[in-house]
Amino acid sequence: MKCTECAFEAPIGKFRYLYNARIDSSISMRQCPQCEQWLAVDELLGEAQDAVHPGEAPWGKSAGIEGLAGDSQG
Amino acid sequence: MSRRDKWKSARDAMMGPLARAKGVKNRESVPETCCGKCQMWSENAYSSEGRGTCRVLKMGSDLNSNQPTYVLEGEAGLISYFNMDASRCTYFTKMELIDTDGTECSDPHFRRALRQMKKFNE
Amino acid sequence: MGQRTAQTEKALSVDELANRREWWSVAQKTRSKRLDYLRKGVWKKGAIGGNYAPGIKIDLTLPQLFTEKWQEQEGEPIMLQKAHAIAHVLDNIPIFITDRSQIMGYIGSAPHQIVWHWQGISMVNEEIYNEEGIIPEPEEESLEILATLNDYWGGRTAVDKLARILDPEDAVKFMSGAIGWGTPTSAATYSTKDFTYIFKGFEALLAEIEERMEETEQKLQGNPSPQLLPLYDKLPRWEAMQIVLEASIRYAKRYARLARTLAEHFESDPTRKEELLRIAETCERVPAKPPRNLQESLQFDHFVQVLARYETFEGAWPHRPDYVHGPYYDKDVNQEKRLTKEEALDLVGEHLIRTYEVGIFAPKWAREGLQGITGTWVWTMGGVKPDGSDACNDMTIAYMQAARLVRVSNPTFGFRWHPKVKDEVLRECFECIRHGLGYPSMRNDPVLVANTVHWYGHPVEEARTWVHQACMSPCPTTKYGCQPMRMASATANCAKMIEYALHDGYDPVVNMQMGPKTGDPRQFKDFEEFFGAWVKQMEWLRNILVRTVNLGRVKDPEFFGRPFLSAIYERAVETGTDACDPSNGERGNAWVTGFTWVENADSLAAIKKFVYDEKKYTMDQLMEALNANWVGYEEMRLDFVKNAPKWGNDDDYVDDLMVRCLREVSRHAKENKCPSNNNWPLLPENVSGNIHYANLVGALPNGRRLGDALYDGGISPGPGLDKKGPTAVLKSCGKFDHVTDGRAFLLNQRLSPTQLSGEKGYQLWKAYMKTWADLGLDHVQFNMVDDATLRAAQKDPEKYQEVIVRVAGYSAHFVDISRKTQDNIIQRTVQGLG
Ligand code: SF4
Repeated sequence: MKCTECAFEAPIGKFRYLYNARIDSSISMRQCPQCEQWLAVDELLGEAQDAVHPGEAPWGKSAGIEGLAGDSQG
Repeated sequence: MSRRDKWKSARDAMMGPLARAKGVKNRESVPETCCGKCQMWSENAYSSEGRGTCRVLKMGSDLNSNQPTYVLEGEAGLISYFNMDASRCTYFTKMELIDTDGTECSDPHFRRALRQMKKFNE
Repeated sequence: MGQRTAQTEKALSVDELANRREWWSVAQKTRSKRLDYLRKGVWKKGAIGGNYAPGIKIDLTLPQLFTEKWQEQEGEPIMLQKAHAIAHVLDNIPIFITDRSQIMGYIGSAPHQIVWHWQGISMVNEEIYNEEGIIPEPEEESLEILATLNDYWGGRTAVDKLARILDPEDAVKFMSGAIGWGTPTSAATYSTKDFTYIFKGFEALLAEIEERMEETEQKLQGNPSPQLLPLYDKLPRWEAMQIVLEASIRYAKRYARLARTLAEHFESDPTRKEELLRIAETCERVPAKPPRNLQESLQFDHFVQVLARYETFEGAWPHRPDYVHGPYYDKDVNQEKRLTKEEALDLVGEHLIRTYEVGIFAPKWAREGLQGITGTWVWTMGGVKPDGSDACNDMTIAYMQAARLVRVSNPTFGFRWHPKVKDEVLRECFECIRHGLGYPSMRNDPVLVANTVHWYGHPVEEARTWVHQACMSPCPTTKYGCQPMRMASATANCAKMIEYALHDGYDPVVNMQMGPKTGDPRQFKDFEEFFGAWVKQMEWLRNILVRTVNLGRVKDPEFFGRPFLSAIYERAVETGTDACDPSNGERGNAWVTGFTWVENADSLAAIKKFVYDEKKYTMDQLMEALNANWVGYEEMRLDFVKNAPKWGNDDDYVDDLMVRCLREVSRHAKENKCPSNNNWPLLPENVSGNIHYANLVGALPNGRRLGDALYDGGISPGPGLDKKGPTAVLKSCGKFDHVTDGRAFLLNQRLSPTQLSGEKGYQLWKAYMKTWADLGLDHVQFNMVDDATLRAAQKDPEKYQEVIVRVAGYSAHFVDISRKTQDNIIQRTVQGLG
């Protein structure tokens, strides 16, 4: 797997597993051991997708009605 | 060794003399090669007083003698401290990524949020 | 004219903010100047994730004062030695009065400092030494002080002493950090307080003690007999109680003196001068004598809470302040009109702020398991009186209104709902929830009163006096019902039950054979055999925690000592015993808190369906995937997540397993006995233990990996896994008996603020609550803040300091919890009602 930020390349297990925010999604968060960036990783493909910053949720919105109908607030 | 005696030695390692480093000097020292910087070390999640367990060695192992003994079988993991000198441990495996950020929660494998480790890591 | 325009603008902007549901800004604009000043000036004492906020320091004055007197009194009976040490602290600790404040008392010598009690656990003492950020400047000097303190207390603390007599295997496993948390000593615990007794005033308690002593001394002059011998030990205990009560009165009078000095020599504002003189009068009166008005009753109450925390870490705050202070509010506001409603609201709001301000150093497990707060200070509201009539009063409403104005995350409220609660009170509860406070949690009073009678045999009139002992468990506030030392250490990391059943009792995180060897599951012939292994691991886990805590409990008077608590405990005063001595008549109210519980049902259901019923996977394949932490088995993992039945969807396949697990535990709960020979039922709830344990529980058949947050707790379904709507969740939860199948059951639900706006929203919620009550559930609590706000707060925390979320069993400011906890909360399903 290749880090999208610093291009560090290693088997997926070398990237520190942080957590999967949504158990029914294959997107997890891992950390690059070289640049220490948090990455969104597709565990099915074994690919780093992008860096994850505060406020970002690459695995999508919450389940339930909030996920179906966009909320006006924000 | 009886069951009681076996566990007694684990308890003493956890709460006995090892747990009572004296003065500032002992408490501040973080050797270049120590358990806290080893991939095999699991920091105790109960408290950050420095205790943890080795994930390969078992109780009865002795790293301090001239000829260290390594016990790989048994019920209790070797209890050691983050700043225990591990220069003689042949199982020492250096951690590449040491996370010292205490605002995220306990991660016995990666996180070493102790003040002494943070200083060392800077 | 100009004035009116300004007012309209202000009103408009508040309305606008309310429409946008920016309740934190609404609060800032509508609270009084005093409350705004006090709220903004208060230091944040809860840890942010696992670290204290910048500027927070450990107080070194308290432990130094305590230790110097303690050493001087060496050789005395422990309670007496400790009383002298506490009195020395109370006489010498620096005190201060915050500008505009009306309620006095703080634990520690400066408002940015947090305290710890060195006599409790040397592990925590060492932890303080190692802790980042909290060492006061100059650091070198402080480290010397800390090292000296730690060197002295090492081996002398309550837990050090206990560890020497515990079975060594139990001691090591208990302290491994893997299976449970807490400390088996009252050094880190909490106590119920009976204010009907305490409000007699400390002078009355002193007189009672004096009487007992005289009576006993007379007996000791009589014929020698074995019956006389225990009396000798009582005298120093009573003496210890006297010493702390007298010191407590002196402590209050130090505030009176300071307030009077400020008023007479320094204050130029006549209004504040008057306030300071009133403060002086109040602190001269209480706690020595009974309170006469609202300010005195709140002040008395706060002094008691502060004084209790000078003695020990009280990590919870069992209380029912609307019931205690309601009559004084009524007298001052309704009858004598001594206070306006607004003035009373200022006092009530400050009561919340002064409580929020209390900071005590929490060990790592407590910081991470209770992120953002110092302890679970859940105040009980509403409910019934001992005769069963409605106990809600104007103070219930005042607390709810004040909470929305000051928006602190601690204390929070638990509301004892019952069928006679008036609509106006229920609306106040809903407004707090709608304002995003996450509290009050709603408790089903009739169910919980019956539960308290069922499990411990408390008389029904006593059961009706219950308060939340911590976040969830009811405890009567009566002479024999009060619990002096809740044993938080009987808190089980229940996901280990299923993990150990899968791994023959071995725990790879601590490299230890923890549970019994129940066999390699690959060899099990059917699900029943697997379930049998689970039962054995469950029993083992509960047994080790309960054994340890029982011993800690009976040894506490010998190893720790509670002179202050004993002095305010009627049964301890009467018998000359330590309040924590179980022989003084305590009826018993113990429970095992069950963290990470639902993972058991979901994992068992997945195993039953895929391995045994459908034979889609072999146990060998499952074990391989789990041992690889599901890495390389993503498709299979998703199958286990999406296609195995999940709790909370009204699916009997998994719900029956949940009920079966609960019934096994309830059977075992009656086999475990506390020192009062009463039962140990399970209480599933989590606080933020689901995050603390995330890296300690390995991969499970419900599809989680080592590192993933565990479910948010109690009987709440896994976040995002409850797909059939809110009624299905309630129906699942209603399949077992909330009286006999456990002590209480936490249920988190997330609702949409858009859907629940306006009157329609209230009516929808009310209808939901009716279904909840009809199904006999004992608890439910709500988050009502949407994704967008929470994501924005992650991005720009400074702007969203007063946004609150319900974690589990407590609320926290969203910006004070770790990212993993934040994401876990955001991923909870937003339920649509109606
Ligand atoms: S240095 Fe040796 S004893 Fe210490 S954790 Fe590593 S392998 Fe274990």
